[in-house]
Amino acid sequence: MILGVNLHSKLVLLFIILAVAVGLIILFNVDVGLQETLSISESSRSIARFDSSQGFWPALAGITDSVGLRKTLLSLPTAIIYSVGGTSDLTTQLIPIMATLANVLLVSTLASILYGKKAGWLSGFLFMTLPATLFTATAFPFTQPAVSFGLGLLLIYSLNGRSEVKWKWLRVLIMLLLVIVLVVLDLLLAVCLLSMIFALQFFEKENKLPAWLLLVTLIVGLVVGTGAAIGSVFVAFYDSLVQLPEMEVLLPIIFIVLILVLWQPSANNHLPLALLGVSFAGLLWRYSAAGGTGLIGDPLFLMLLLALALLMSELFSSKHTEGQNRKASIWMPIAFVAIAWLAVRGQELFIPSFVGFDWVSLQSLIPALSILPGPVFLLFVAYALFLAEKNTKLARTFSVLLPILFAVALIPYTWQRWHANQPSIWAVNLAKDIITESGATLPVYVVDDERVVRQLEYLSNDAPPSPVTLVTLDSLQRELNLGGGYILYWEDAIQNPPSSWWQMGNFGALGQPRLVVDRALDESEASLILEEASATPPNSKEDFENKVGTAINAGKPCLAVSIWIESQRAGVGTQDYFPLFDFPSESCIDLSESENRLAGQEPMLYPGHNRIQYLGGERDLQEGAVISPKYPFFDDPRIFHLETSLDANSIYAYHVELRGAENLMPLYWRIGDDENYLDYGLYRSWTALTVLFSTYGWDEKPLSVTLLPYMYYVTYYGGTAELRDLRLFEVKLDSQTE
Amino acid sequence: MFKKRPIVQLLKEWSPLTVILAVALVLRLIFFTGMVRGDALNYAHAAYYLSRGVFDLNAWEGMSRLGMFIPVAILYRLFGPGDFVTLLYPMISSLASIVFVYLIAKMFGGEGAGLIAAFIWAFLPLDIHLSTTLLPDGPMAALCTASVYFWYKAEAGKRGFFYFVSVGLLAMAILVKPLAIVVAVFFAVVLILRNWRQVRDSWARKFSVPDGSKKYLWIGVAGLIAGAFFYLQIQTRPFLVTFSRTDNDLGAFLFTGAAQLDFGDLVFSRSDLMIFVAPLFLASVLMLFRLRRGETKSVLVWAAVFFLYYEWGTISLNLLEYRPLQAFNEARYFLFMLAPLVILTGIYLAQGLSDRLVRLIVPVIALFTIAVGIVDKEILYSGGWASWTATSSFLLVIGSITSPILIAEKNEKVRNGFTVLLLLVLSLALLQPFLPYHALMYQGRLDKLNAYRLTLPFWNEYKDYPICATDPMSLNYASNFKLGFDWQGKSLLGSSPRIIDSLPEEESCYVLTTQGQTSVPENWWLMRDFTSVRQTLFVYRVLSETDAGRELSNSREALNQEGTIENLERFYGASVNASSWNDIFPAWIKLHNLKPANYPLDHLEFLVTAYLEEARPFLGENLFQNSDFSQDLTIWNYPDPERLTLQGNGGVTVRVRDKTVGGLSQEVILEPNRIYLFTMKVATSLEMVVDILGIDQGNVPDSSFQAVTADNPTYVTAVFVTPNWGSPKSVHIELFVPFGTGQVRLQEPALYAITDLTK
Repeated sequence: MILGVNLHSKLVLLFIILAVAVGLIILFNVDVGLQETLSISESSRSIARFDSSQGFWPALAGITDSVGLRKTLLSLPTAIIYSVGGTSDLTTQLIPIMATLANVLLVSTLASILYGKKAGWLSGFLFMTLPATLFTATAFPFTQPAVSFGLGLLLIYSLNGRSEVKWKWLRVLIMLLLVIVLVVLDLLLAVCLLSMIFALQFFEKENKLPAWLLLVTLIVGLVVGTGAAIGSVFVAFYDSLVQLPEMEVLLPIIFIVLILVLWQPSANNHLPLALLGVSFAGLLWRYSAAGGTGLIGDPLFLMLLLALALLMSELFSSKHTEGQNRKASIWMPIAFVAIAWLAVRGQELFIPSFVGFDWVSLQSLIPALSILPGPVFLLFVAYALFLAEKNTKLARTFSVLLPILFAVALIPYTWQRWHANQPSIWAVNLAKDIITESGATLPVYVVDDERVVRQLEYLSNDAPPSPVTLVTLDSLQRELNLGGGYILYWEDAIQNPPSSWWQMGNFGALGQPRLVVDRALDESEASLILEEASATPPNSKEDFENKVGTAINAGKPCLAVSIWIESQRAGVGTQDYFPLFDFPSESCIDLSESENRLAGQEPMLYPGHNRIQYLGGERDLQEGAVISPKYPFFDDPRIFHLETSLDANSIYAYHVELRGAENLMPLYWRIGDDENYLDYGLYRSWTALTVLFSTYGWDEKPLSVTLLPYMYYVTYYGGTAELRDLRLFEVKLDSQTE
Repeated sequence: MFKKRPIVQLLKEWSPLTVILAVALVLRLIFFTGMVRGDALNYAHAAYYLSRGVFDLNAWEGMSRLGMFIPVAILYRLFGPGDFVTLLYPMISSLASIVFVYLIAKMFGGEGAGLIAAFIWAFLPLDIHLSTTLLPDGPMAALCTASVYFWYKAEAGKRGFFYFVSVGLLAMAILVKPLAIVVAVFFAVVLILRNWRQVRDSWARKFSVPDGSKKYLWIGVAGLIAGAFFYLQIQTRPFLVTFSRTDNDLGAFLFTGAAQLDFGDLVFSRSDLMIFVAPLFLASVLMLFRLRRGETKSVLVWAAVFFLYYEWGTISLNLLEYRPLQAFNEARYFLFMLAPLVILTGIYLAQGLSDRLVRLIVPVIALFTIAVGIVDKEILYSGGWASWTATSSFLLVIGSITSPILIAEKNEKVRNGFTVLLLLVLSLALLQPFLPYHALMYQGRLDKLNAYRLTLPFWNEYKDYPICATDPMSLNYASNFKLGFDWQGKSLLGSSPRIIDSLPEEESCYVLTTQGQTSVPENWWLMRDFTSVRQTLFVYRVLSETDAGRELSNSREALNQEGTIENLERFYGASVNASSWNDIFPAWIKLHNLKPANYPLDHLEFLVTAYLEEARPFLGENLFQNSDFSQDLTIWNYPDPERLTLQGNGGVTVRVRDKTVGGLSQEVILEPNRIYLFTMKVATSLEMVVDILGIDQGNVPDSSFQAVTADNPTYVTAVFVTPNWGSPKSVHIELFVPFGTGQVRLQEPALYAITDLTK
């Protein structure tokens, strides 16, 4: 017996739930790279390096002075973990991950206490499948811990009525401790929960009129007291709440569940209902005070959803038979994690990651899962209308089917949030690696993104091999004049980088601005290095890359092109494309007698692009064509594509001129499984862009190539883009000049 | 049925509905939309042509919607065209919707339910918006609701004749908008459900044979057809992708406001139109059923058929093409779908009040709310009023969620009190300005239409050239079709149209446009401008080379003979049309001195902007010739402030970041009672707006500001008049205040004293 609840029979079940929760956390881990986590990691690292030689208190006071008492307290646990296990992603994320797992258990326990064991696992399952749970499990340091302490408080409170529970003084003491920690973690959450517990005392009494009067007085007081200004705040808050992507699914379900529960409320529903109400009020308060930022990372938001999970678990589990419930407790979590894995990772086994014309033109399985929100809503309505009271057999089936459908319908929203963050975080890791591999001999300049600077500091445990500086576009040139450096910027931050910057690599997800790592050197110094390098013929990939880079840095792009082509011929495995931004490629490459392989080609509209209205007057991609307007269709950046074939062991130049009112991703190509595009940027005026790519190393037979002259998303209906002079031609290797 | 009852009883019976209808009418007039949306003007033209006996089914793509313009054509024929007559049809339709919603709700839930449903429809923002513009959705909603009403009456077995009426009304609705065919789907579902036992038994007898093989054969065939259908969908269009995109569109719009509302120049990615009232609709649907109001099942089926069709139905008649309704992206298309939801809500809320109380209270709430609505609509949406309507939406959501407890509350006083409050907050919440379905959004377009009306006397005076209007249908409609326009290339017998839609090459005409002088060619003579509230229309005379030459020569001769203002104006206009620069400025200065009201300083700004090079000889000395502008205010993050000096004609480029407040400044001595003209060349990047020329408050009463967003250097001008200071005064001139991020390049600042007003 622990806290009056017999957990023994649930051990296997708990193991499954926890294993599934761990699996989901791994699957949707966004990695360490968001501002909040980096900030806490930074202070934890400084505490972990605690230097007590100057005296314990002065040293502690020094830390507290720099980051504040609250942050010091919050950073202490991570600091202790760092001291023991060192700085790593696992040690940084250990606390939120453990808290998430604890929360799954705590929610299950709370539901067991309130509604019986049938509801326990189900509420834990529903809680762990919520997009907000899975995101905050790794993205925010304190959301889940705050919820843990809040849940602990609720759990002890909910044991109040149980006569078998002894040691009441101990409960009071634990509650007190939980409240103290909660005050540090999130004062508003502590206030909300304590107010709720206080208010619930009224509802427990025989005469509930005072409780209702209190509630009505509170609402009326709020309206009158704020001079009705609460309305404007509410409208703004409600607008921001309903705009959270997952609300498409959650909001109608919240209403349905609330209406059903309120129709015949039981005493056990008081706590979840009060929790839902108080969380909403707390969020509203925080919104009005803080201006509506960070809803998703707010513990109160998670509390609100947690209350929904509790209510739903009661709604469905009450219809389950014992056997049905037991079976579902095993297959449902396993089925869910399998579907989630398939949708996020497993699909790559049979659907190419980006351009997939192969299987019903799906970019991923996510659209298939996106069919669910509507039917789930309808099934909930149907369940509420017909099944809850009639046809017991059908009601039982639906009570098992609906939770899993509900959870699966939320996968696209979980994926969406993960996908919006993880690739950009991972990109910084890769950027750091490439700089380290190149020797890290120059200072690193990060353009306009403090988060990247913090992440680089985190990755190097505050001892970066070369100094990292945050710069603006204005100050960058001044810094580079001091002798060059590595420049890290997101693709959309710099248009047409100078031709003397060598692009060492770009990292991130296709379809999003990628993180570019460039190197700039003082031109004279670069010439000297080049001279030295030219003394010995290059042999390895590194030799070639270094020579190409130095030639670019020395302002000799044509030489760089020749070296790169030579490296391709030698088959040493250098990068198989060469971006050309800010210099006339014609001066290096003879195009006079080359045949344009795209001349006269009819562009094929991307299937599903059903609102394209105008694709150039003559659909002539050489003379000029306009796409206007583009319909924001399923967030897919593809519009049209061309197919052609290329010979192996050649170098091709792929060229376009374009302009548009939206960020464009120009010059996409796909050869076999290899796909890429040149850039991600806003080209307001006509801009010529060229990329060279190599087919060396491919089979001798002609290769089929898919080309998209550009791709773009639209932020509003009607975004336009134009192109002209689209060309793809084989580069005559004899004509290379230095 | 009315004859048998005394008039007092009839009045008593119908007075609550009459009050609701009266309130609805007033609300619709307060929030008047006008003939400014979508195809409204096309329908009006089709009706006018028909009233004059011209009908061509191929004239325009909307001609098949006979139900839209035949009633208007009849009204035009009877009463002649005009705004009142045009809008009679949608207005009557809107009021009819209220009546039919009332009748259906009354049929299933008693009079109280009917009155509450009518009350909700009266306040429904979408219906208010559509009731004063000639679009098909309002009339279609009325006809569909009426059709369903008579269908219910027929189903109730009272008179078979009602089936005929119902189908007739549905046919009319389809003629208004083919989408009304969804109602037929509902009828079919009702028939199937009613005869379900019979259908099932006959099918079972027909296809079920002892060995069951036939049944499986049919299932197999059906499966093959479905498979082939799905396969073809995949081949022609990614069905799954389209389907998943469509999925939950309507649900998402109702609850979260997510939308793609395309209004040409404006696109809304969301609208709050339904989000505050959707929880109440949902509570009504769920609770009515749980309250075991079995009689409302058929209304629920009505709502369900509409919902399912809107959520996943296709509008394409081609089975191999899936074209979801969402492709239209317009909330007004589902107005008629709201009828069953409003009826269910009426029946649900009626659970909380007795019929007697409803008869008393609902009209009172309606009258109270209309008193709020009568307050000028712009005041309604600012300050305290806005807070109260927003607060009502907050209380409406809370009330909707808690309604299951309180509407079913045993304590009658609590139940009644709650329901009354809920109705009150509902009506106030619905008064919020839900864009884009609100009159506020269309005020500008309405002002423009009124400005067209203001031009009518002008056209009576000037008939020598045709009228080239950028929006010919609006002008023709504003003139009650008197000016004439060959709509869709069709001429009316016995009339010669005065309006043409574009300026023919090498021909002369009066151009009516919203473009100011700076945006039109230099040789367009601005004859008059007409302003209605916030919209200004400009009338220019544009002459062909031959006409301009002739006009200049004739007007010069006339002026020499008789120096009247009329002749001077004529000469000035001809000199503009003929681009005779030497004549333009002297003529304008004279005209300004004679008729300052007709030739205000704004005109000079336009003129100078257009003809600066030509004007220079007349402007005198540039007071900034030797001035050094220096940095005055903080320019955030500018790397090298000391370089920020603008000397004479030399240019300077300033980089600015968001939230910059700053500029270059210069002190200058100005004479009293003078007209001063300031010019400068400015180029900015697109992300930036620059307010040019701020002048010290207090010294010059009217500072002049212009927003500039231009890639290429553009002349900006500002004209201001100095007060009667008595003696010259030193004034601090601030050159620019940028907002946004980007660069601004300033060149050639110049200040000229144009005219001494004391002379």
